[in-house]
Amino acid sequence: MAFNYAEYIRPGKLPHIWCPGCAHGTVMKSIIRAIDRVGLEKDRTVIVSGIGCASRMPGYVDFNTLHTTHGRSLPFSTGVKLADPGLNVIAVAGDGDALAIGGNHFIHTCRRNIDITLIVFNNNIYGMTGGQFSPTTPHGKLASTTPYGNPDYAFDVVELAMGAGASYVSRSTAYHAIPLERQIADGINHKGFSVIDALCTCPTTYGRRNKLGSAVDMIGWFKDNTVGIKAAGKLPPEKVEGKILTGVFRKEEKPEYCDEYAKIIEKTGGRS
Amino acid sequence: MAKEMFLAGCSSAAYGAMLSRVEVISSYPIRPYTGIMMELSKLVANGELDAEFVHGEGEHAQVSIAYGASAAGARAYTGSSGVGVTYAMECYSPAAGGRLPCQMAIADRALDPPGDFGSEHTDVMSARDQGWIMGWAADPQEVLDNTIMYFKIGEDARVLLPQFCCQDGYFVSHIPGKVSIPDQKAVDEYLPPFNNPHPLDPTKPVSHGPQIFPDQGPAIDLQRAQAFIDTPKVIEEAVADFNKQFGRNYDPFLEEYMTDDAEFVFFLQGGHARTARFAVNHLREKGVKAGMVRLRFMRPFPTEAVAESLSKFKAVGTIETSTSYGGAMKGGNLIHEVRSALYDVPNPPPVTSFMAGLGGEVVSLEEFYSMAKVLTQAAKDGKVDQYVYWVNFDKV
Repeated sequence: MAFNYAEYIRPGKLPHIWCPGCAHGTVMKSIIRAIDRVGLEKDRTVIVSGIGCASRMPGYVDFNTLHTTHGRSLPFSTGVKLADPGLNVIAVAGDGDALAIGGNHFIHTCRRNIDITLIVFNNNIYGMTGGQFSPTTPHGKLASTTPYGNPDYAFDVVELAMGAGASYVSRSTAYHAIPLERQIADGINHKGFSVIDALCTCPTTYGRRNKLGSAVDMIGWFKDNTVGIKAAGKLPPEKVEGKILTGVFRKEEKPEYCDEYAKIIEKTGGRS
Repeated sequence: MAKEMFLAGCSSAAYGAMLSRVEVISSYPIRPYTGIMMELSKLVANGELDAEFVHGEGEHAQVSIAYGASAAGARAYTGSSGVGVTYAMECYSPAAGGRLPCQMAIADRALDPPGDFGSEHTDVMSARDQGWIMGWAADPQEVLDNTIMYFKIGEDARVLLPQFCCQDGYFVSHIPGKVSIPDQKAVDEYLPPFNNPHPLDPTKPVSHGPQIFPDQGPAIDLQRAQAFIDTPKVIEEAVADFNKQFGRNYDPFLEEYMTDDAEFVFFLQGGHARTARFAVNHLREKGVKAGMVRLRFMRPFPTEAVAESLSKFKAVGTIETSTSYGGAMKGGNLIHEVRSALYDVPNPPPVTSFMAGLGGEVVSLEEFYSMAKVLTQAAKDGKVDQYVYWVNFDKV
């Protein structure tokens, strides 16, 4: 039977704002399917976002949703989770939102290991504001504010999350929507902070300027330029050189913040 | 020779910054001001402007970069809109207290919630008491001119204060108009290079922003307050010199439109003045003696000029375009300033306020006509029935 997306969508909020060819809708589908796969109760699930194209996503889905300020999906999520640790809290953010203006919150949420799942809609650009370069715009690429190439070097979301202490870290792409769905489900089931780097595309403000072809070409690029980390270990180095690694990079059991907090309350005889 | 271009306010600000030979620019994207930075990044990349262009990781970083650049002696330029302006709030007092005359271009925007893109003055009006010079332009030409003038005023040794150079988001920032671009040589004559009297310099080390003891605080506050007392004279000089150098006709503090025999005036800031002028023309055709007074500087507030101007009329209506929730008059901010300015005037005119132009709404001609009815009655009665009218919601 076909998947019933209608059950999870707010029809009154459509049409969405995303441009033709934008891959954010694919990532949204993966999130919806992952939630369905895990079987989360809608009324016990909260989706939190900041500002930007990706952050419009919670408006379209029928859960408890919170659209906040730029870069702040994680601190708002932390407040929600601490107030009611029984809620399932999912945060979504774009690359600029998560890693530039919200970069400090990103690393500290990783360090704290609170049971929140973050999906980074990573399309290498600030799309909504007109294609300014972001912390994941690759070196040398064109943006509206780098007309001759980006002098900065990009963050690797996976390495950053691992270095900062997140206990579940994975990467997939909008081409690999089913593995992405599995990772998001895995991240939701994981007890601790989960970061899923969801590579997606912005044909309008990034692809066009960098001559990356059509929206379909850009999605196809992921197929040809990614290697799963399990496969990468078995391939000769030249087959892995220059490719983006995907898969689950870390999944480790580690004390979770709300649990640790509850322990202190218990130890000191306080009330939770 | 000056040349004419057809520019929206964002591009006009960028050209103003280029002509001012800004040396360090810090950006972060947010609509609608971001157009300024997109234009400037091209001007820098194409070699038309010799400046460092840095993309911060947020507005807080942006203003911090401008602070650092200014402390090191550079002419620094940054900008923002809406929640970007309020996110950087922590940095405003340090820049003003540090007496660092960097400039921040504002294309205003409504604050959250719930995420409105439209023009509203509340964003930067929330920062009006941090010690920055501040005022609105009414069209792209004035945006360019103010950009240059504000550097001249802010960098004056008697002033040394940062500046919010404001324009209405979209209404000015994104609607093109004819702009006369002055010759670089003429601008260089008007605006000499920035000379920070106490730059960070490894050969002559100085300390900026050190921790102080509580008893040292008031003296520093007094210095900043004194700078604002001294600034109006510098504004008068800078505007007069600008008018002479570039053939403009700005009043330093107030634009008066059809006020000679006006019974009442609309008092406002920024781009809504363009609609107000049309409204005044139409009202005049119907025999209603309306006028308009437009404020060019919110800080320093030109108390004497406002008192002198507004005391001529039988009624005044401020058009707020910003909010002051729970304030003395329970509406906007302009009415507080205006009533304070008129307090010592013998027989001051009644003053009321109109909450209009919020959230990006156009203040329409019809709304001006409705406000004119309230003000006509107030002029006749010599009093106002209420201090705040929410236009389209109240009995207006």
